[in-house]
Amino acid sequence: MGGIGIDRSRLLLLIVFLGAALGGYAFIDLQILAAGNLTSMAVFAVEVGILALGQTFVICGGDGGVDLSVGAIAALSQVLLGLVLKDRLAWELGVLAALCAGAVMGLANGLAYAVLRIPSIIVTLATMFAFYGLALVFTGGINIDLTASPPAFLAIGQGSVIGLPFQVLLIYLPVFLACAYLQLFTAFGRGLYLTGTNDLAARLAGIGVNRIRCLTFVIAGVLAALAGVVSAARLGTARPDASETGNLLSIAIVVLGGADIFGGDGSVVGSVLATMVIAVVDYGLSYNNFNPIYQAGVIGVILITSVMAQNLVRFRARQRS
Amino acid sequence: MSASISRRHALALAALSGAAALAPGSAEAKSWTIAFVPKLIGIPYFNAMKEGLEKGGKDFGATIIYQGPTTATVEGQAEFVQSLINKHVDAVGVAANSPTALEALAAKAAKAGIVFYSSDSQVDGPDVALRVQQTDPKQLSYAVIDQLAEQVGKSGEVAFVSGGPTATNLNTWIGYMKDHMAAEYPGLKLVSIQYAGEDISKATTVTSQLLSAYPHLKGIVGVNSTAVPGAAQAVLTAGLSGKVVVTGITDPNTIRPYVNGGTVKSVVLWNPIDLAYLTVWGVVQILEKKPFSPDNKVPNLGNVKYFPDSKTLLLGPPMVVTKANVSLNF
Repeated sequence: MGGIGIDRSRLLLLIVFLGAALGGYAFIDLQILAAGNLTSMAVFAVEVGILALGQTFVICGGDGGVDLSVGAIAALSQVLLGLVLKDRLAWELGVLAALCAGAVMGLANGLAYAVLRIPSIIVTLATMFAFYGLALVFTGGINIDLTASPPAFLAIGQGSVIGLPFQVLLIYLPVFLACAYLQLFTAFGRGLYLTGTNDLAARLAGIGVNRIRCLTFVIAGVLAALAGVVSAARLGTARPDASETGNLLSIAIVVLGGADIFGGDGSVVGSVLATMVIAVVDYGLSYNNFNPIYQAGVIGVILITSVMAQNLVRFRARQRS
Repeated sequence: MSASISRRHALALAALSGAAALAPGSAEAKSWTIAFVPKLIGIPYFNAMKEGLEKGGKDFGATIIYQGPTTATVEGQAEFVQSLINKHVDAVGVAANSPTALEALAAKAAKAGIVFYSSDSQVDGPDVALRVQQTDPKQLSYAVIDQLAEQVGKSGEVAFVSGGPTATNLNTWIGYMKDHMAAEYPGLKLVSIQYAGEDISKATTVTSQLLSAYPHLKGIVGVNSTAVPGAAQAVLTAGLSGKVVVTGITDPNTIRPYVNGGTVKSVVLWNPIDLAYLTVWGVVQILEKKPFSPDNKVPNLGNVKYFPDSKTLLLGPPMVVTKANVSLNF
């Protein structure tokens, strides 16, 4: 189906979902389509959306690969960024430190998986606790106040460019394009697809399966750190307990985006659409004053429905042929 | 014919009242819309605040929107606050999960002409129009330690069980508790501070671990509303009722069975219903552009102090909950 790993019917389904959600909310209150509301949705989607882009690579790598630590990497990275900013060093240095830290944390995950042969779900469960723990140790449990940081830094999360939120236009969009290019047009992307679908075949074809999977964790780590930077700039605070929902929500988004949890199929395009669905549904529920207790449940229902709809379509297609 | 006239009449009335609601100057007929985003929804403490908000809304002419995240995260709060700003409510406030993380949104609200306030757990910065403080945090923390020392005695090992490790108010109280212990009761030794989130069963687990790790433990302070009953349950299960003192900051509803059963002698708190009621009163004063004086007569609450430097309304001194008054419903 489609290009490598891209499932067109899923993308179509997500677009229908998106239209239905927006249309439904607009039916209740047309104001939801106002620019202020749409940009708010986009702003809230960016951080978990970046986490989900990294998660996509890990899951597509196969062998049951998931990264449960992306939220924790975001938290620890933003704490390191906060410490640099607190010492009044250049903010660019802080951002660089955060991204490097993210890469190192991702590499630690990748090496533990590839060299020590520990299943990634165990590795990243352990590092999730470890990274959050370290973040608490570094801060003593206290949020780092970044509200007095240089305006150029805060603009990453609060500024706007030609009327659009800075982080949507100048961070999320370029990152998405880079990820799409990486997945669809490079040897790495093709190697990743083969690794995810059939790692024995990949190995026989001379692809460094472990190296590729290790690299997916590094990508997820760097992107998680980037999400941490954006979140710190948006809230003007570095928090050791940041992005706690991101660990699992990013996985839900990738699966909703059409990725096979066992590897291979899946695309960053699907993940982006799924991020938009989740963001719209989530924001619309709070905007329309729905009981928040149901929000988590609604996301679960969407996930199950989309998978079931997909199975139904596949089943029909198989019957016909 | 007459039906169509009265229908047209009704439409005209509706249009008029719609215009009245839109016109900014017509304060008389206006009912304010005040939104409040608690740290999280679905726990007794914030349910009590909701009750107080609605009571205040009825008495002072405001419609209350009560919305919040299901886990105590500031990201969740930020989402709700932003959507409420986009909805153009008259005032939006929080019990903040972080003092600084909502400053940018407070500025956004102020820019949109929306009153931003905090109650229970405060937000920093110049754009916060009002802070409503339950009691002086120092007085409250000192009162808890006084209760602890009264029951434990002059010396012994004690431990704290708190909520989220980053919660502003909880960490402030812990700081004052430590100060007061060091200054007034040097014989009391703080051996551990544990964090159990806003979760009773986790507080039970954490306390059980403390009891086995420190067999000589003589007292436990629960710093938030879920830690005290959790700790009491652990002490009860371990068969240490009466041997290990449990006290702290929590509400009567949560702790009642343990006070009646004798595991807990006293806890300290303010009344969250009153706190929320005062919050609505204060916000309405600001919306109606009535200034505060240092001492304010608030209906049903009596005299309430206002501190202009920090824009803070202070509910009053803490209340000690014992077997005598544990039947209070909140």
